[in-house]
Amino acid sequence: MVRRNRGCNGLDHVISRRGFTAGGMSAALALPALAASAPHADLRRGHKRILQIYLQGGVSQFESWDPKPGTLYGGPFRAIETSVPGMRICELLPHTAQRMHHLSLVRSVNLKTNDHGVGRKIMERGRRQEGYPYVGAVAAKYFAPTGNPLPGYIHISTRGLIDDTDAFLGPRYAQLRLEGVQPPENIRRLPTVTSGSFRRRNLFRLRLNQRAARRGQTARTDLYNGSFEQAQQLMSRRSLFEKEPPASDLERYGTHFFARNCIFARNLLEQGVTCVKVTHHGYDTHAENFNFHLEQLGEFDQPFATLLDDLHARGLLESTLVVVMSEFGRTPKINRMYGRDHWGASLSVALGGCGIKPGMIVGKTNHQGTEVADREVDGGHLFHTYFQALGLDTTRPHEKPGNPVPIGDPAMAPIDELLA
Amino acid sequence: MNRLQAVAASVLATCVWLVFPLMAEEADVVEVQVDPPTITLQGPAARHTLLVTGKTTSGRLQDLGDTATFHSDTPDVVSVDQRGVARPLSDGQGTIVVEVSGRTLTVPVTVANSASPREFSFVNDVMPLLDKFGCNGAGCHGKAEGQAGFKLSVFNSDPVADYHAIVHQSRGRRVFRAAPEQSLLLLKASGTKPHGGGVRVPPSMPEYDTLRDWLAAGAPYGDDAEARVDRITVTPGKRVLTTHSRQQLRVMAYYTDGRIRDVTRLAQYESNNPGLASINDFGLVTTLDRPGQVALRAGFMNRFAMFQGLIPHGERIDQYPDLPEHNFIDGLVYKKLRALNILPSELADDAEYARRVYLDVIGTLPSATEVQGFLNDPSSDRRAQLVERLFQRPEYADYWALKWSDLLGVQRKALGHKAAYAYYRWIRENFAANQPYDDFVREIITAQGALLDVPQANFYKVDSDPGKLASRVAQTFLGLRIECAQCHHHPTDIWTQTDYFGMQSFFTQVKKRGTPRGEVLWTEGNPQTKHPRSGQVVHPHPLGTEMPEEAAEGDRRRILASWLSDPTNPWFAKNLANRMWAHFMGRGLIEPVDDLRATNPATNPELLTALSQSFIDSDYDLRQLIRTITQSRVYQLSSTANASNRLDEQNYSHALLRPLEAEVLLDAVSQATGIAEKFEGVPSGYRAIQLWDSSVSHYFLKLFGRPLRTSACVCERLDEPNVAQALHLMNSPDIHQKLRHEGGTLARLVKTHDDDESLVHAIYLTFFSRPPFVAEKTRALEYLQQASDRRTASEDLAWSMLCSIEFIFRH
Repeated sequence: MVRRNRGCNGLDHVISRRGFTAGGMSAALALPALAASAPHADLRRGHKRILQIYLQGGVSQFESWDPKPGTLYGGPFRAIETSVPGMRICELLPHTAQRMHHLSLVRSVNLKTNDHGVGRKIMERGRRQEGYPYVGAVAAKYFAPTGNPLPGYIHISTRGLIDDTDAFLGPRYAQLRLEGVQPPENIRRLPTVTSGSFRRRNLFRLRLNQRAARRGQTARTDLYNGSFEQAQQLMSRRSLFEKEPPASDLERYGTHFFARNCIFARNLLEQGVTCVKVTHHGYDTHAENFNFHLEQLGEFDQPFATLLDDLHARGLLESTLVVVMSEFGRTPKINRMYGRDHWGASLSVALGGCGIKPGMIVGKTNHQGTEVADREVDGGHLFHTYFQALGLDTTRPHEKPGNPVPIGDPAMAPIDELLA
Repeated sequence: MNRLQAVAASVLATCVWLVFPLMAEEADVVEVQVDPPTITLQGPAARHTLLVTGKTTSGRLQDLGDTATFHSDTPDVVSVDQRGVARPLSDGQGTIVVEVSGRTLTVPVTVANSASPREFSFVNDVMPLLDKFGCNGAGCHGKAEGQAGFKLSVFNSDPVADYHAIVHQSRGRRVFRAAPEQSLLLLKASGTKPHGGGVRVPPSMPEYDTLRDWLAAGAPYGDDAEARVDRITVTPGKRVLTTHSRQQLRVMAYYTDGRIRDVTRLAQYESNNPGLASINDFGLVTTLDRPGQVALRAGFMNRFAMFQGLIPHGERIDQYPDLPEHNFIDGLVYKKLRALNILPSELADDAEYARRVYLDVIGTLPSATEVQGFLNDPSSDRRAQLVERLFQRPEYADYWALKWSDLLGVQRKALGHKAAYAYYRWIRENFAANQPYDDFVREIITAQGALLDVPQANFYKVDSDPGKLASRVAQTFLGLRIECAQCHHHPTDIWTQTDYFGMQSFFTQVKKRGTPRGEVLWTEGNPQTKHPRSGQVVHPHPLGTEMPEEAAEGDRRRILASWLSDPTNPWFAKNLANRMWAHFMGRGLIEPVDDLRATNPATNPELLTALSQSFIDSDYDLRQLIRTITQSRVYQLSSTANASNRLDEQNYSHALLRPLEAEVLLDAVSQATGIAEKFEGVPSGYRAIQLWDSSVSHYFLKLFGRPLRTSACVCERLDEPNVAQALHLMNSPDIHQKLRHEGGTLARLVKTHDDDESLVHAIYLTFFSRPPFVAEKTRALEYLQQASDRRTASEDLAWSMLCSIEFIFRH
C-alpha cells in the first residue's frame, strides 16, 4: 500500500507511474522519491550525474578505441595520436582524440554474448540475470535531488527498444524516453483554452480537491494532486523541449539529429536531470563496416567532443560520469560484404568525468585483437566502477523490501585502478 | 550429549507478579513481571532473552524492556546485556537483577556445563547462520548457478551439499582448521577479504565466534541422526500495543529430542504491514502512528511462528455507541473497530451510495437522470432495490467479464482473435446468467473438446505448461502462491516440491491438437511426474492432502475440480469472498488477495470465515454475495473520515478513496460529457468496459493502467497517478473536444437551462452524481457570472470537476 507522509507536502512526494507508454515514450516522468535511508542519504549533497552515450548496434572497437592498424584484421584506417601521449585511437575520431585527457579506456571487456539484447542488458544492469535495474534507474534512485520537476532518468533515442529499466525500483525511476528533442505528449496548453481560462479552471479544480481532502486524504490522493502540480511545472519548462538551440551551438555541435540530441543532453544535465542517456543508432554493420563507421563516427565525433568541452567548461565534468558504450563490439574477421559481425569477446568502453582517473588505458587485447590479453572485465565490473566512482557503495543492498539484493553483482568488483 | 542449549527449565509455569505502588511518572503501571522468572543455561553457548512486562491499571500488558536496566549480581557466573540477553560464564548459581519503574526484581540463574567443549552440528549451528545472514539467498550463493564459484542450496534445502560446498569444494580452500580466522569462509563473511556481498558477519558479532569455534573444532558435520527443529514459538504470541511503542519478542526452538533453545538472534523476521509496525533483526517490534492489526512472522530453519499485534487508536472509547446492524458483516466489523478504539464514519447519503454502487456493481457512472430518480425514490428499501436493478443491466455482465478476463487471461495475441472472443463470450454469459461460481470453475478445470465449442478450454492455452497451470489455478482460484515450490520449498509457507508436483501432475495428461475444425483438447495416458531431487514418482494430489498410493484412472482434473469446489476446501470460497470483499471495500481482508497463507492472516478472520460460509451456503451465488456485501451498513459508510478513523485504512471504518480503473474512468468521461469514445475494431457505441481484447490500442486506457493480462496477478493493473495522466487530462485535445462538442452534455445543458442556478445543479448531477451544496453552488455561480462566455465558463467548471478527486476516485 502506498504510504502517506503527513509531515510535508513538498514536490518530493510527487511521483508517477508507467506513464507515457502510449505515445512513443516508455516511461514515467518522475520526481525522485523521498530522501533515501541513511547509507545513501549523503550522496544527494553535490548532485552527481551520468551521461551515457549508447552506440546502438555494436560499435567496432577496431574503428574506435582499440585500433590495430597494419594487422590481419585491422581494416583500412590508421591510428592517430591523442591528447594523452601514447594513447592512440582510430582516425575516425579526430575531435574526440583531442579530448582524451578527459577520458580513460577499458579495452578488455568480455561480455561472452553476441546477442544485442543480452549484451545491452549486461552493460546496463551489470548482471546476467533478469529483473535488475538499469544504470540510469539506479542513478535516479540514489542520486536524483528532491524538488526537481524533471525526471531523474531521461533517454533520448529515435527508435523504440523495449527496456524494463526500473525493475523492482519502481516506475518512478524508469527512463522517460524522448524521441529526440521532442516534448512529452500534451505539454502545451491547448490554443483554444485561454491562459485565463486555464488558470481559473485549475484554481477551481484545487478548490474542489480541497473539499475532497476533507473527506479523508490518502497517499494516493496526495500523489494525484502532486501529479497535476508536477505537470504544471513541466509545462513551465516547456522551452527546454521546444526552443531551437542558438546558432552558436548548432555551429559547434552540428545540425543533425545526434548533434541536436547532444545539445539537448547538455541542457538536461544542466537542469539537474540525474542520468541522461543518448542513443546513437546504426552501428550494426554486418555489411560495409568501414563506410558505415566513417559515416556513423563522423556524426558522433564532433558533437561528442563538443559536449565534453561544454561539460568541462561549465564545471559539470567533475560531477558527471561520462560513459560511451555499446552492447558488444565487432568481429575481427571481415566478412564477404566488408562487414564485421557481432562480437562480445573483446570490446572497449570509454569513460571519464566524476570519480574516474583520466588518461588511463585499462586492459588490452592481443596483437590481432582476437581476444582479451590482459585484465579481462565484464559489464558487472563496469557497473561497480560507475557507481563507486560516484560514491555509491555497490556492495550494499538495494533499498528493496523483502529479499535484499546487493546493488552490484557480488561476484564482481570495481576496476579499482580507474577510480580517482 | 549437550550441545549449545538454553533450556528454559521451570519456565512460564510459575510466573510471579510483583505488585508495587504506583509511580508518579508511570502512573498506570501497577505490576511488573520478568519472564521467565528463573532460567537455566545449559552448555557454553546458551542464551536466554528476558522479557520485562508491566501491567497497567486497565489490565493492559506493556513491554518495559526499554526502560529496564539489567545487571548480573554474580558477574563470574552469568552476564546480561542491555537487551536482557543472559549468557553463561561459569557453572553455579547466579542472579540477574532487573531494575524497572523504581522496582528491583531478581531472576535466579543456574549455569551448567558452561566449560564443557561445545559440540557442534553443521545443521543446527552453522546453517541457521547461512540463512540469517542471507548467504543462501536467491540473489547470492543460493541462486541456481551459485555466486563466484560458491553455491549453497537455496533456503537450507540440502545440508549435505552445503557442508560439502563449504568444507570440501575448491580443494577445501574455504576452511583452514588450524587457523580458523584465516579460513576463506570467515575472511569473506567478515569482509576482511573483498566480498561481493559485503560485510556480513563482523568479528564483533557472537555469530562470528560460532563460526570460528566450529572451524576450530574441525568443522564437523555432526551426527546425521541428531535432533532437528520441530517447531518454534514466539513469546508473546499476541499483544495489544500502543502507537509509537516497542515490543521485544523471544523465539524459542523446540527440537525433536526435547531440547529448547532461544533463537531470537538467529530467527528471521518479517512484518506483513510495515506501515503499521516494523521489526528488526533481533526481534524488536516498533509500531508507527497508525492503528490496526499487524502480523509479524518469525522463521527459523523453515519453521514459522507469528506474533499478532493489535494497535488501537488512542484512548479507549468508554461509551462505544450501539450501532445499527444491517447484517452479520456489521457486527463483526464493529467488534474489531471497538477493540481498536475506532468509530465508524456516518452512513453515506443516498447520492454517495448510488454513485458507489453503480461503479462497484456495473463499473458505470450513474447518469444525472438516474441519480435524480434514485433520490426521488420514496421506498424504504430503495438501496437494495437499486442493486437488483443493476444486476439486470447488460453492464453488469460486461464489467464482471472484464474483471475475470483480466484474471483468466483473455489475450487476443496469444489465443487468436476468434478463440479469445469465444473465451470472453463464455465468461460473460456465465455472469449474465449468474452461473454458480463452483460450476464456473469446474467447467474451466475439466474443459475438453473442440475449443470453439468449449471456449473455456482456452484456459489451457494461456498457459500450457503443467507447472504453470498448477500455479495459475492455485493463484486464481485458491489465492495461493505455490510457484516457489517448483524449485525449492516455499520460503514463507508450508508448500514443498512434492505439493507443487502433486498439483502439476493433474495437468500432465492434457493434450491439444489442431484439426481442420480448429484446436481440440483432450486428456490421455498415465504420465508420471518425478520429484526433481528424490526422483520418486509424485502422484497427483491436491494441496495439503495425502498423496495416494497411485494415480487415479481417467481424467485427473476431475479429482482436482471436485476437491476445489468441495465446501470443506479451506481456500476456495475464502479466496473468492476475499477478492469480492477487496473489490467492494477497496482492501482485502487478506492482502495481497492472492497470498493466502498461515503467516499472512486476515485482519478480521471471523469476518472472512462468515463471509465465505455465507457464500458456500448460497451455493456459490455471486449475486447473493454482492447483495450481502452491499447491503451491509459497513459498505454504505461515508468516505468522510472522523477523528478516530482518519488513519485507518485497514478495518473498514470508512469508505476508501480509490482511483477508477482505466476502462471505467474512460466510460465515465464519455458518459458525463455525452460524447462516446471510438475504439478500433468494434462497432461504434461500444464502451471501454465492453472491450474484450486488452490489446486494442488506446492511448487513454494504456495511460491509466489497463493490464496486459500476461499473468494471473492482480498487481498487473497499475493505478498509481502520474504526470502523463495529468498532462493528458489538462491538455489533450481528446478530453477538450468531448467537453466542447456541439452534441455534448455541456452544449445541451447551457441551451436547456436558462438560469445559472439550474445549470450548476445539472452540471453537478452529471459529473459528481449529486446536487451541489449551498457553498459550492455559490462559488460555481460566481464563476459563471464573472465569465464573459457562459458556455466556456461551464466547460471550465466541468473540466475542473472531471479532473478532481471526486470524479477520478471511487469514494
